[in-house]
This record gives sequence, structure tokens and C-alpha cells, in this order.
Amino acid sequence: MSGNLKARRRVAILKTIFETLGLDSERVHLEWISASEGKKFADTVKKITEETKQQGPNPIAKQWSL
Amino acid sequence: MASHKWIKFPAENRDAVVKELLKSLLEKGVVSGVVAPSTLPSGASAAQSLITDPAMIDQLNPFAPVMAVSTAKILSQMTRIKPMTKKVAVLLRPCELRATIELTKLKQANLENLLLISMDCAGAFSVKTYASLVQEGEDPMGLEAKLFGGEEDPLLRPVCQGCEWSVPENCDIVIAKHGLGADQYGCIALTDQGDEALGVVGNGEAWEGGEEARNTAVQKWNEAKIAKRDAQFAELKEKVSGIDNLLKIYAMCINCHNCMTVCPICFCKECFFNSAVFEFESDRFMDWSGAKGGLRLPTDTLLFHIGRMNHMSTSCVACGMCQDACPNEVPVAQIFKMVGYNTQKRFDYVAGRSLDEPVLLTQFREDELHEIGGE
Repeated sequence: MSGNLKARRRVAILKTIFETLGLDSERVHLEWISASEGKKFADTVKKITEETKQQGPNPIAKQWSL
Repeated sequence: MASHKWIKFPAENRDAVVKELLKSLLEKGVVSGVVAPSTLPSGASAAQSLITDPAMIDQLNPFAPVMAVSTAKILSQMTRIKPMTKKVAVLLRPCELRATIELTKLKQANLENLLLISMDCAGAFSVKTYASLVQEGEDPMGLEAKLFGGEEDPLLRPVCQGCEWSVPENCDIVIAKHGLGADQYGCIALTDQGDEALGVVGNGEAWEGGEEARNTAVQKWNEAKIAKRDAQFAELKEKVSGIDNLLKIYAMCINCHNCMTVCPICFCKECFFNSAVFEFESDRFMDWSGAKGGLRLPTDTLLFHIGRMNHMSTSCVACGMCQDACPNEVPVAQIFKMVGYNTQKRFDYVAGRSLDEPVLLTQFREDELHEIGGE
């Protein structure tokens, strides 16, 4: 059972790339939630929704020339 | 390692000394082949070649400051399916050596039966620049002497200008410049295998007590390179930072994927970005365009570049081959190098530095990266 640990490295690498390129690394999020942690799942989704609303739409979504 | 050979010789004899060494190794059967750059028939370029006939050693141009194809890629081609069964001497630049080490760790190359000879590297020119220098009658060796003297050359490949890993470490023999005067070069054996190989041409003139002078010179050289690198990073960071700048800098990309094709580290037989994942039904294109009113075609130009950074930047040795291969001079290598520097630094890793450091993406630990989340 190590996929979560490997994924955390991947996320760290992706965030580092975003930081280097001046992109918003806060839009990448990692959370470990097991199947039995229903409340944690709900709370996390609420938190992310809240944060995303505050951040507003990603300006990259409007770019046609990506 | 004081017990290994340190020899020195006049600078103008460098090519002759190295050719004599390679020729003797072949003639005496110490090696069965030599991989080293030869001048191509045009005279204006040099390419790696596998020489088995000692008589053909004369055509070598061992220090031509140009890299057509990364030697790491060549060694992967030669040793991936089966390691060399006969000993072969390989002359390669430090970035090619690091890429070879990285590929070995990725199980894409095998160091068995290779005698690795590398050099203090002053940098290389792109194939195009090298050809025009030769055609204009410039002496690339003269340019090299100036570079070792501390002069900068804006024609040098940009990643070479700020290369902080231009002194080789994991090889058998180093053709050395640092620590010697302008009129001398040296050979240093770093391993027993290297020591024996140097022995075939006799002991030469001993380079006595060279270690201290060399360490000081290497340190000074590296400091200057690191300062240059940092200045390059600062300038580049301004240029690429943010989505608007990124789109400007990759605007000239024509999705040829040359950068990926020539990359020694990008070893996948089928690149993810050429796979079925990126084949879409017609409606998808209409949907994407519909969401924004328009869509650049082909799609996913920036995604390709950032995706490649995500897949490979932790193994990037900053050899710069990608930038040489870009038809539109997008500074892909400089961006990749800066990103790779940061992703590697996060894990205190340097691509190709050591066979003992496992590649980053095969490793994971519980006690790390708590700031990222999880647990």
C-alpha cells in the first residue's frame, strides 16, 4: 500500500513546477481520506468548495491558446 | 585518490595524447571498441562513432565542442537489450555521463564493460553554431581556451554557459584542465580500471601534488558557473512567470515533439502525449472550443511541456539537447533546467550525480512532505 505516498511525491513535484512557472499551486490539493471517513470527506469537499469560491474562476480556463 | 595516476602534458598535444591512448587500448586489446566523436565528411560537424580499427582513430575529433546526439542516448541504444560483451572505451561530456548514470538507474542502459572517459567541459556549441564557426574559419579549440580562461561566450549553448556540473565525477578517466596552467592538460584516473587503461601508454609526465590546485580551481570554476546560472534563472523567471508569459514563450511551439525525441532521459517507447489518451472524438473539440469561443489547434501545447516537466524534470541533467532540436528556438532547455533544478532540490537529489541515489519517482517515504498534505 504505497500509492498514496508515491502520489504525494507527484503532487509535491507538480506544485514545485507550478511555483517555478508562476502558476497557482494552491489549485492542486492532496488529501487522504479512507472509505470509512465520511465526515472527513464531506468537510474536505466543503473546505475546497469554499476556497475555490474565494479564489474565483481560474483565469487559465478562459485562455484559448493553451 | 593519490594511488591513481595523474599525468600532464602540453595543451597542444591533447588530441594526440588522447588519440594515442585510445589507439593503444585498441591495439593492445584492452578494449575492442572506442566510442568517440569523429569529424564528419563536411568537416563542419562531428558525431559520435564506434571505432574498432585502430587505423581509424586518426579521424577522431575527440574534443570538438559540439553534441549532435547525446552519447547517453547512444549508450542506451547499444546496451539496453544486452550489456556490452566486449570492453568499449567511451569519450563523453559530463552531462552525457550524468544522463548515462540516470538511464542506468532507470534500467535503460548498462555500464558493464564500459570504460568511461570524460572531460572538464567548457561547454559546447549547437550543431548549427559549430558549423558556422568552422565555416568562418574560427578555431573551436581557441574558443575553448578562452572559456577555460574565464571568458564568457554568448554563442555557447545557454545551458552550458551556466552549467554547474561541468566537472565529471563518475567516470574512469578525466581529461583535466582545472588546476593546470593554460598551456597544459592532464589525465586523471578515478578508478582502478582507469588507472590500468592509462598505464598502457606508459606513465607520462607525473602531475605531482595536483589535487589541491585542482580542487581550488574546480571550486572557483563552479562558483562562477553557479553565479551565471542564478543570473540566468532570475532573468528567465521574469520571462516565463504566469500564464500570459508562458503562453508567449511557448507561442512558437509547433508541437513537433523534437524536444522529447532527442531527450536522453525521455526513454518511453510510446510517449503518453502520443498515446490514445490524446485521441478524441470530434464532439470533444467542439465542446472545448464552445466553452471559450475558440481553441488553439493542435490542442494541449502547454500541457505537453508542463506534462513532460512533471514526468521527467526530476531526471533532467540539463544537457540542452531539447533546445538545440527546437526549430523555433523556444528556450525549452533553460525552462526545463530551472524546473528540474527546483524539483530535484526539493528532494536533495541531483540527476546523474550518483548510482547510489535512487531515482525520485521510484521512491516514497512516510516521513516526508507533510506540508503537501495526506495522513
